[in-house]
Amino acid sequence: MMSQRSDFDSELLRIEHLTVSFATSGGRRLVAIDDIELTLSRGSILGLVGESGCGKSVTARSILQLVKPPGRIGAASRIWLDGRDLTRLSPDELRRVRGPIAGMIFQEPSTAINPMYTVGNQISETIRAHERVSGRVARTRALELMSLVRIPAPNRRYDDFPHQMSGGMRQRVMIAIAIACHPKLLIADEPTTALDVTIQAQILELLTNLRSQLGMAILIITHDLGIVAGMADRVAIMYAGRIVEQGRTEEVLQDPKHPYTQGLLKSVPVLGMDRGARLPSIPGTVPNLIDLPPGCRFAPRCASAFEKCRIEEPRLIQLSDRGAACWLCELPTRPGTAVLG
Amino acid sequence: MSKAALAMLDAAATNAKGRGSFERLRAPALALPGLFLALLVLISVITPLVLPDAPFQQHLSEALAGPSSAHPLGTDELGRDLLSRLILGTRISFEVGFGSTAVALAIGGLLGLWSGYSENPVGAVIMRLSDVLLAFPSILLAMLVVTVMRTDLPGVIVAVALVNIPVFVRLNRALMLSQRRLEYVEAAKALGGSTSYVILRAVLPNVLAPLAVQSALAIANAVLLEAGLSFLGLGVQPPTPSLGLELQEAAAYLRQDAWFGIFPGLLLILIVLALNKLADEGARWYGRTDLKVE
Amino acid sequence: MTSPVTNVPLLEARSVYKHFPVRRGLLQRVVAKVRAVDGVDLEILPLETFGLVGESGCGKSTLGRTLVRLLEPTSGEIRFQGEAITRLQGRETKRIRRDMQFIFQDSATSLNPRKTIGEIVAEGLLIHNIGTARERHSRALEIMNRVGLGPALADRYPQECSGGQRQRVGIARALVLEPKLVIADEPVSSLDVSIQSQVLNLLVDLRQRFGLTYLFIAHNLAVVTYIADRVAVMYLGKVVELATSEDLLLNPLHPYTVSLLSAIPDVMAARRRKRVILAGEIPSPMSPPSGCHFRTRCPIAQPICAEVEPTLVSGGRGHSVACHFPGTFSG
Repeated sequence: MMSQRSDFDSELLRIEHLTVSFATSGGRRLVAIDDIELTLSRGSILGLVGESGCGKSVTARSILQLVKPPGRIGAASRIWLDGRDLTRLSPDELRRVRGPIAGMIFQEPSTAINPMYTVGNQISETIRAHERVSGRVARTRALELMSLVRIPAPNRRYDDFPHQMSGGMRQRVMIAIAIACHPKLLIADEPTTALDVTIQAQILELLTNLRSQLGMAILIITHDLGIVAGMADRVAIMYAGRIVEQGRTEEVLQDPKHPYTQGLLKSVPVLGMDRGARLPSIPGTVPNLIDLPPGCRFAPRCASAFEKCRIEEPRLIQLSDRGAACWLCELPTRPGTAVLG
Repeated sequence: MSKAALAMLDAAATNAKGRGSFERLRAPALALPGLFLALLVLISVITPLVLPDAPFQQHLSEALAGPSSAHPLGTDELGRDLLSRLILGTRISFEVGFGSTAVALAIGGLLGLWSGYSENPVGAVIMRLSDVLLAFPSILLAMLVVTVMRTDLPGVIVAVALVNIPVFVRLNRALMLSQRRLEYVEAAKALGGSTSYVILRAVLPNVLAPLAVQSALAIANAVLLEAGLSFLGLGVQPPTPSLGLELQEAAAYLRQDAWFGIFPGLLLILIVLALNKLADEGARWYGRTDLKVE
Repeated sequence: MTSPVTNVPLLEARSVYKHFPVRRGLLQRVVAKVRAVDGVDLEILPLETFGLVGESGCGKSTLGRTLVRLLEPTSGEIRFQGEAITRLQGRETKRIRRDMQFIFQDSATSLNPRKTIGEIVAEGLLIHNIGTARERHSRALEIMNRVGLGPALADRYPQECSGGQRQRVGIARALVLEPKLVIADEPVSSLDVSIQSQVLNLLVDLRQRFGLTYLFIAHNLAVVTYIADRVAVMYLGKVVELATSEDLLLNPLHPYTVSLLSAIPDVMAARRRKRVILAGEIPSPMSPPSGCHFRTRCPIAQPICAEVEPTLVSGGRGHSVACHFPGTFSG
């Protein structure tokens, strides 16, 4: 377990005041993520969890400045990666960050893998794009990477085209490309959602091993709490463009403070649960981000909402290394009421 | 925010009712060619009803005259008023254009949709036949049919329809194949829908847009084909005017009086251009409204 | 609306095969076959919820569609309420369809984009010529209400609805004909977690209210064991294990079932449990391994597994398994 010093030293990624908005054809701006903060220590795994539309993918993309118009990153946003502010870098400098410092993998390998080139070629080319090495050296390194990501018989598969490989294999190739230059951070956006359960288990195990072997930090974005339970050191839960809870994985999952987290945990069927019991579910739906209600974004669906919740939006209330954006956490301790601390 | 969610928000924000898609048509782009054609159709239908004899009356003493108050566009080699001939010729063009396309659409459409849906081997036979027909250059095929049948308006319509049928067969089969993958087709079948129900009530409403586009192009084709046939003397026979026939007549007098060949040619070009513009606009709009929500 | 609980199966499948020919060349010769369903026997009892679970290529979706004859079986026999339905044609098939309905996975493509929600829900009534237009409309609204959709939605189009709403439309559409059997193909897989539980609860409620029998197809064992009474696990076109939900969880006999259970990310058990990670990829259904289809990834495969194909053998308490060494692998 990584020590939780807040020294700048062990901090690999720090996101401050990240806001991303999109222009819509109606003329109004849609704020997809609203002033969020995240930190990630070197070599640790952070899980970013939320349902569709919560903004987690946008967050992932904006780290490497991959947000294109009509999306726009807010002026006050700061993204510190390995000591440098990515929001202030030129496109050239950014290109030198993507690859050697941070790599990214996606849900659909086809977004990152070119169907026209062999997989080995693509890995080698990634290496050569960032380092001055000969073709032969690049090929050797590519073969090593393919072994690292457990692609069997790399020599033979080097010349395969993506369509000749299965989904799980392509995902491994994408991982190989992303870590080709041994980055310090790997951003994984729903890397296993499109895969079968048994293949998913393989990929997740691979990622965990890579963390141990390479000392690489991983930011994994997913909707599946089970996945983060199995591999993440810390977890951040997103809802409607905001982070509503964060902290160490075990603590958040065993003792969630935010009603949304609590609702999520209760509504997912788990193996061996009581079959006669009704699945508690969160009523209602995610709010329309263009027309947000005043106050807490989750209040309309929250069973514990009270007056203040509908007036003022709660900020992340922090105590040591946990945080929850909920006014309930401010209430004085009453017998039976759990509170941070 | 996912692209899908954004698209949905967009859709909800910009259109609140109805089929939605039609509201994204660009009115200005459609207006010009649409109005032009509508006007033309109106004039060409009404005028011959009001002045039925004008295109046929010969004023030999005034043959090949230039524009005058009695004959705004002048006269042809037999002294017939050019303007009224032009108008009637345009109506003939439209009759062939719309008539043959309607036939081709109905027959080719149904055959194509059916062969794309049913597993019946007859479907494959239909496709091979269509391929054979498509291999012919359209003018040759039309000439062939017209020679076998007869050279007047119904004959021309049949000939041109025959040229266009394979096009619609292929298009509709392709459209059906692409729709068949979508589960709503299976759903209609699962509910108990018969083959004709699925084809006509489930799939057809979804492919109207590309069909409309193809029809506009087919009409343009038909108009040109008719003109070609008439030019070669295989279309409508004199004294019935046709834009193609007039071009042929004008060609003979080119050296003396180039004047009266200009208008049929110009009109043909404008009609075909207008139809193509409509087709373009339709295709552009269709491509855009296929925003699928994931 | 309930039928007496008997032991006469509502739906019976015997030796059902569904192979898809792969054709190449000008003459469209068959060069290979995708063996999607490779010999399946099963029985679904009235009022039970039968779960069918497996990963991609296992054939569960194909089996579901073949059972309602959306696809024609290559061979085998299917009986519904004792009546053989495999060879029915035309009007007879239409009659059967009223009693067997299908809920599709992808609500985005399974709803006709050119019809309103009201029209979609009432479509079954229209096809079978039931009632007047007004009666159909009011019945549609009634069903929509039952599945939690307000009447205002009746004039909307599918593109204007959320995923959860569309899924409910799909359910309403399937129920409007008051079927006896409903086959649900991954009905909640494409939904957000918080909507999943809403729809699952809805399916359970409807089951009780309408006396439905479900065939619930999914890849998520946690969902399936929650909602289903009995579960069949499929791998590469065959049923490898069949048991009640409880038995499957407490006493999985087939090594694939054990691995599947272990691979599921589970919030509670997370780090304590040792995971079974299967080696290799799922083989192609065009060329399944000889003998036992699972042997290439099986942690306890023996030579006999390549030679003799194991058949589904019952071990008592309705627990069947197709394996030469059942119960010997526990992860």
